[in-house]
Amino acid sequence: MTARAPLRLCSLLLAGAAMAALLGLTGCATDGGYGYGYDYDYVGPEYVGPDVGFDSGFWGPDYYIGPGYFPGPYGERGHDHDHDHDHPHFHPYRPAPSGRPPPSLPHGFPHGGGVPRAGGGFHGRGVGPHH
Amino acid sequence: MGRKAKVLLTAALVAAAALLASEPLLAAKRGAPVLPPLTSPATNVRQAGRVVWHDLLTPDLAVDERFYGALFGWTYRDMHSGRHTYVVAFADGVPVAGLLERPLPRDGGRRPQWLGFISTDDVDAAMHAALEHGARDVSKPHDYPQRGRQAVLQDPQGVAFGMISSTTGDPPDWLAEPGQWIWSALFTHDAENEAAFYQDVFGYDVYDLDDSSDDATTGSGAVVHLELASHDYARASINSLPDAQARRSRWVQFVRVESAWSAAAKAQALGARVVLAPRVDRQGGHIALLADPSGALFGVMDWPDSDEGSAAGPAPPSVGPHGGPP
Repeated sequence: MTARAPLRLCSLLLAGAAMAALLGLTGCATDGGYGYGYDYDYVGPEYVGPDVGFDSGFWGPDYYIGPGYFPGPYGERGHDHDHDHDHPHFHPYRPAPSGRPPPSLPHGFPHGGGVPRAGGGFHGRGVGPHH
Repeated sequence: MGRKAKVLLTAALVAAAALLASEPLLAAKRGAPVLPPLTSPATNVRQAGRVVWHDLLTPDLAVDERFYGALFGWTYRDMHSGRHTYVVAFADGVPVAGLLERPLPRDGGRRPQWLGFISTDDVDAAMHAALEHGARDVSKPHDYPQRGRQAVLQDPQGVAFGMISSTTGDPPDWLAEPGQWIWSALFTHDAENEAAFYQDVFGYDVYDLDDSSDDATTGSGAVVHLELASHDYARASINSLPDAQARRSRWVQFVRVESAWSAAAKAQALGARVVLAPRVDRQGGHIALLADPSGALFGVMDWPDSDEGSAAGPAPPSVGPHGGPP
């Protein structure tokens, strides 16, 4: 009986190691080789997008897409677009406060000389990927 | 504790140790690639609501690599992503996009697409909020080395989008350089409810840019043009789509170019289709919608630098089937 105990222990250890190896290999297979357990494969083929039917066109002459306010010499064309005073109706979203013009894109920093307002972690010219 | 229990405990400990040891070894063996961080050096600042990363799902990576490389000057680094081919595109050394090769399903009626990832401080919390407001998860939150934690969802209208919490923070919040992404537009049949959804998830300020103009129509009713803003910067637009039967809701991402006219003409020469010919957009920028050689929709936009004060871009002859030069 005393000789069988070490044998059983050894068997258990071997089984445990084998299980661990199996689990590790399984993880490797399921992640497809992308590190930390995941393949970079977040969507299946069904999420290749549907044909959106844009080719037929639908844009009228003033169908705008871009930002609504330009802060430079065209800034005067920005205006308060909150229509709640004139045409009160329910918005499912919370409209921006009345009187606040819609913001524009970030300024032309670094080469344009603007100052980034957002992201307090930036410390001015010379810091960032362009330098 | 009996002998049997000790033996079992020991075996469990050994198994756990082996398991912990196996992953790094296996990762090293397979040469696990690491995605480049979104920004280097780290900014450690995130601008929630900003679209900070873009992935293209395409059935023909080589074709699209050549196309975008020739059009925008992008260079690439192969990431060898397991079963799939994934490359990261760089614009002047700055990582701007990923291109992931995926087969097109055989059912037809589908196209490759660009997928934008919106920055958030907490992917899990944003995911939870999105699901509570009618979204569906496509890919649950995953951690990627150096990149960060990200997830992919469909919004209540079924439009795919991603969210990401970058490990190193978001890129500096400057005006995009040519070759970098500058704008995102969501075309949808339910603009106001979609605005509410994205506001609930990402905390946007929502501005109504309705022109109240008779011309601002699509031929089937007034348009809705909303702007999503965060940190006092415009991040994206939400535009209403006409003809619910004919068109599907979709995010479209825009790359900044020196001239939308020149970019559209060049793209056409490289095999793209011009979906919306270059035209003047709000406040001096010009915009065009294109479909790359694989069929993925994207936009180009020239935008006058606010400090240079030049709003009028060059206007070569008309390109494409719709619209035309002003």
